[in-house]
Amino acid sequence: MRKEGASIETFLFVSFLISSILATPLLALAQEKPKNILKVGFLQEIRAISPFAALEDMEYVVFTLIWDALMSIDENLNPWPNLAERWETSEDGKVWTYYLVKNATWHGTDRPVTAEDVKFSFEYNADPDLWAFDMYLLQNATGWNALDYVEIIDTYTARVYFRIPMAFGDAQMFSIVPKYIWEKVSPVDAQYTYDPVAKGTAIGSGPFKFVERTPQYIKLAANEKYHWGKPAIDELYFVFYFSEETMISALKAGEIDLIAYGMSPDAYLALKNSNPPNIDMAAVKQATGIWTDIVFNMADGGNHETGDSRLAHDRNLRKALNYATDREFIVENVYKGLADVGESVIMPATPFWHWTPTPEERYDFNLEKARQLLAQPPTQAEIDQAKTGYHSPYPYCPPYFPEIEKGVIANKIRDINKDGVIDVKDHVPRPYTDTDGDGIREDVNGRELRFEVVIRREFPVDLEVFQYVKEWWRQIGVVVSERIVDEVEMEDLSALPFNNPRYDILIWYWSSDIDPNYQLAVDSSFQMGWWNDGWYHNKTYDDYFLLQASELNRTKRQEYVHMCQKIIYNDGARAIYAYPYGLYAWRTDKWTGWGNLAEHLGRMPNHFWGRPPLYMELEPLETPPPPTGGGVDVGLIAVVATIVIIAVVGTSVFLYRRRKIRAEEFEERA
Amino acid sequence: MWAIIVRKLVYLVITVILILSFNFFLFRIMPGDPARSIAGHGQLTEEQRETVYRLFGLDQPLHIQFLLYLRNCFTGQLGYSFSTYKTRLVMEVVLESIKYTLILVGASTAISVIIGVILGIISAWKRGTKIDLFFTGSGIILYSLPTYWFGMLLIMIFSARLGLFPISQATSIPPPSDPVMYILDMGWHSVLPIATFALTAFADFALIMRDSLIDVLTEDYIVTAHAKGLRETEVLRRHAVPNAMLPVVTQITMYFAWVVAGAIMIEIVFTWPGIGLLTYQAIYKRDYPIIQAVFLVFTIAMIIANFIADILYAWLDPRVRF
Repeated sequence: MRKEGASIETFLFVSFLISSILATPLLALAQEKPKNILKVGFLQEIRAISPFAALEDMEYVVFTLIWDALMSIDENLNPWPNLAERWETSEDGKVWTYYLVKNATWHGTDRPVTAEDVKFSFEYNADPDLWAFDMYLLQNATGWNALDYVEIIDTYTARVYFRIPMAFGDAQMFSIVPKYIWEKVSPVDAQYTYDPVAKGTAIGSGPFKFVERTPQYIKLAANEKYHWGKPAIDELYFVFYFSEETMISALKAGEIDLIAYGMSPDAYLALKNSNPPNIDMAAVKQATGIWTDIVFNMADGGNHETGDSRLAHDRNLRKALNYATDREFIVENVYKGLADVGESVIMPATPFWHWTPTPEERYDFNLEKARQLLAQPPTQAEIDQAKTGYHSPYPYCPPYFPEIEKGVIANKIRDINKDGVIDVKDHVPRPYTDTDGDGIREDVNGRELRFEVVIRREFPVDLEVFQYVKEWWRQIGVVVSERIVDEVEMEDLSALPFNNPRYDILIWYWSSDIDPNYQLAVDSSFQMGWWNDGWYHNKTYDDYFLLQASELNRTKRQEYVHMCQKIIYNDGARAIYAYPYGLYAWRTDKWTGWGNLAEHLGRMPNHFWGRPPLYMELEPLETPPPPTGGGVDVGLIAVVATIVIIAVVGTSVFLYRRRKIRAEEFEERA
Repeated sequence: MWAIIVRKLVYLVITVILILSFNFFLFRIMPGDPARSIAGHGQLTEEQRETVYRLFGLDQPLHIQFLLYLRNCFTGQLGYSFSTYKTRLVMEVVLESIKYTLILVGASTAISVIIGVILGIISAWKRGTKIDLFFTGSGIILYSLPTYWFGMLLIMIFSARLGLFPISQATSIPPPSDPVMYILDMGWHSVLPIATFALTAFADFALIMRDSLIDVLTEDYIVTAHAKGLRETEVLRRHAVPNAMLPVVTQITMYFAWVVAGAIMIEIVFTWPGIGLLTYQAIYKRDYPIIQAVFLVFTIAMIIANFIADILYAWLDPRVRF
C-alpha cells in the first residue's frame, strides 16, 4: 500500500513539475511585443556578406541592404538619391560633386557618414587589387582607371575628379564603406579573405543592420536611424532553401512571405495554376537585366587546350551558329513563355538603351542561311587582312589610353595549320564542306567543325537548351558535345590563368545595372582578363564604348550605346537567346504595399542597388502574428507535449508496478 | 579480451592514417582550381592567383601540405573554411552543423531500431501468418522508397494539406527565445524528417531481427523452454530474443556511425542544416578544408563504430574470437 501511494504521489509530482516548466515560457510569450517580420525565401547560396566579395545576385541583394551607395534606383528605374541627396556635374563632365545627406550614420554608432568616407571609398575601389566594382571606374588589368582624385569640400560634400568626362556619374553604384573600419583592411584582404560578419564589422548605413547568420537564415533588423526613414519591417529574414518544392510549400503554409529568387518556369506555372489562396504572383522583366547566352571563345589563341581558334576569327561561323539557334522555340518551350526573345546585350527593361536589330540583321532561325554562310569562301577583305598579318579587321589601338596596350593580347596571325605559309587558311579556313559525307563539315585544312560546350551543372535549364541547340547545329554540319561542370570549374576554364581560356563555347548568363556602361564594359578590352568571359576585343567597339562612357548628351550617348550593341551583335560574339523574367510569389495576408511589379520594375524583390523601393514601402496588413510564426501553434505544441510526457511517465509507472507485482508472484511461486 | 581490444586498436590507428592519406589526395585531384572558388567571377592575374594560394597555404609543395594536414588532423586544427574567407574555423562550422545531424539522425536511428526490433520479433513469432506478411512487406516497400520522394510526400500530406507540421527548417523563423520553447519547437520541426528517416530505415533492423530470431526459435533449448511450461512471451523475452540480438547489435552500432554522416537527401528536402547539407555545399564551393573535415569525422566515426561492434560481439558471444 505504501509503495502504491508513493507511486501515485511521484506520478502527480512529476506531472505538476512538467506542466510548470511548460507554463512559464507560455506566459513569457504572452508578454513579448510582436514585431513586423518579413521572411524571404530563395534558392541561392549566400557565401559572402561583403561589398567586395559578393558574386551572386542574392548576395548583392543582402549586402546592399546593409551598405548604401551614393544613389539608388527608384521603382521606375531612375537614379534615386541615397547617401547623396543630390549631385551635379561640371560642364565637361569630368567633375562630379556629391552633396550628402546630413543625417546618415553608421549602424550602431553616432558616427555620421561624411565626405571622408566617400573619398575613401572611391580611392579604395580604384586600387588594382580590388576588382569588385571595376566597371564604375573603368578599371582594367593594367591598373588604369578613370578616377583622378577626390576633394573634400566640406563635411558633407565630396567632389570627384575623373580623367575623362563621366557619363554615369549619377550611377556610381558601389558601396560607401566606413573609413574607420576599412582603412585597416588591405584591398587584397578585402577582395579575398576579409569577412566583415566574422570580424563584427558588417557596419553600413543602409536601411537594415546585420544581426546574425545561421545555417538556416540571415537576419537583418531595421535601422531606426535610417536617413530616409525607418522601414516598417522590423526584422528581415532571408531563409535558405535547397529544394524548390520545399520553398514553394513553405510559402503556401505561411512559413515565408515572399519568394524572391529561384523559381523555375515550371514551378511558377504550377503554382499559378493551383490558385493558392492569399498568394499573389508576378512574372516580370528583370530590372537587373538578366540574359542567358551562348558565348563563343574569341581569345586570340582560341581554345588554348586544343588550339582551335576558328570561332574567334571566323565571323561567318559565329553568325551561322546564331542563325541556327531558334530563340523563339527556346523561349516558348524551355522558359514556357516566361522570357523575352534574346537580342542584344542591353536588356529590354530599359527601352531607351536597348537596341533592336533590323529584320535584315536579326538572327531569325534559318538553317539554310546558316549553311550558306558556312559554305562561303573567304571574302577579299579577309584575304587581304591575312596578308597584313592581322586576323581581325579591327586591330586594337586605343586612342586615349596607351597604358591599356600593355595588357592587350598580340593580335597577329600565326601559322595555325603548320603548312609553312601564313595565309587566310590559318584563321578563316572556309568554305566548310562535308567532304566525306558523314554529316560533319570540315574546313579547308581537313579539320571537322566539332566543338565542346561547357554547361553549368546547377542549372538544368541550360542543359535543356543545349539539347535543342545540339540538334539544330547538327543539321548544318556542326557537331557539339557537352561538358557539364560546376560554376567554379567553368570560371576556371574561361579565365585561369590570365590569357589562357580553355573552352570553345559556354552557356552562361549576365546581370547588370540600369545604366548601360556596366554591361557594355564586360565586352570591352578594358575587361580582358577580368569580366570579359568571351574574350571579345574589337577596336571599333572599344571606341564606341569609350564614347558612351564619356558622352554627357543623353541622346548622343544613346547612339553610341546602340552602336556598341550593333557591333557585337553583328560580330555574332554572343548568341543571347532569352531575357528570362523574374518570377516572384508573395503572401497577401500579412503585408501590403507590394504595388504593381510589372509596371514598376524597380520594385522587384531582388533589387540590388540599395534603398529598395519594395522593402522601404511594405506595411504590415494587421496585427503581426506572434514572434514564433512559421505556421506552428506554439500553444498547441506545449499542450500536446505536456499530454505526451504525462502519458509516457504514467505508462512507465504503470509498467514498473506491473513488473514488480509479477516479480513478487514469481517469488511466491518459487 | 584485452588482447583483442589492443589488437583492434592498432588496426584502427593504421586504418585511420590510410584513410586520412586517401582523403587528402582525393580532394586535390578534383577538377577546378580552389583559387577560383575563392575569387569567384572575374579573372585572376598570375600575381593575384599566387596571392590567393599563399593566403590559403596552397603554395606549399604537396608533401609539405600533406604533413601539415596530418599534424593538423591529430591536433584538431583543421584550418579555416575557404568559403568563409579564412575567418571561421573548420571545426566551428562542422560542429555548428553536426548538432542538427545528431538530433535528426540520432533520434531517427533510435526510433528505427525500436520499431524494427519490435516488428522483427512479432514477425518471427508470427512467421508465415498475415501479420508477418504485412510487417515484412510494408517494411520492404518503405525501405525501397526514395527518401527524397517520401519526404516530399509527407510534407504534402501532413504539412501542406493538413497543416499539422512545419514544412521545413530546424526551427521556426524567428526561433523562440525561450529555451524550453526552442526545444519544443525544434522537436515539432523534427517530426517529419525523423519520420521519413525512421520509416524508410526500420526494415533494415526488422528483417535482421526476424531472420535471426527464426533461427534461434528452431534451437533445442527453445523446445526445452516450452517443455518446462514457460509462456510463449517468456520464452521469447528470456531465451530467444537475447540470443537473436547479436546481429542486430552489430547493425545498430554501424548505423550510429551514419549519425554523423547525416542524411543528405532528407536534409535537402526539409532544409535541415545538418552535416549532410554542409557536405553538399562544401563540395559545390570546393571548400577543401570543410570537405576534408567532414570526411574525416565520418571516417573516424565508421572506424570507431566497427571497432565497438567487434568488441561488443566478442563480449556478448564468448564463442567469437578474432
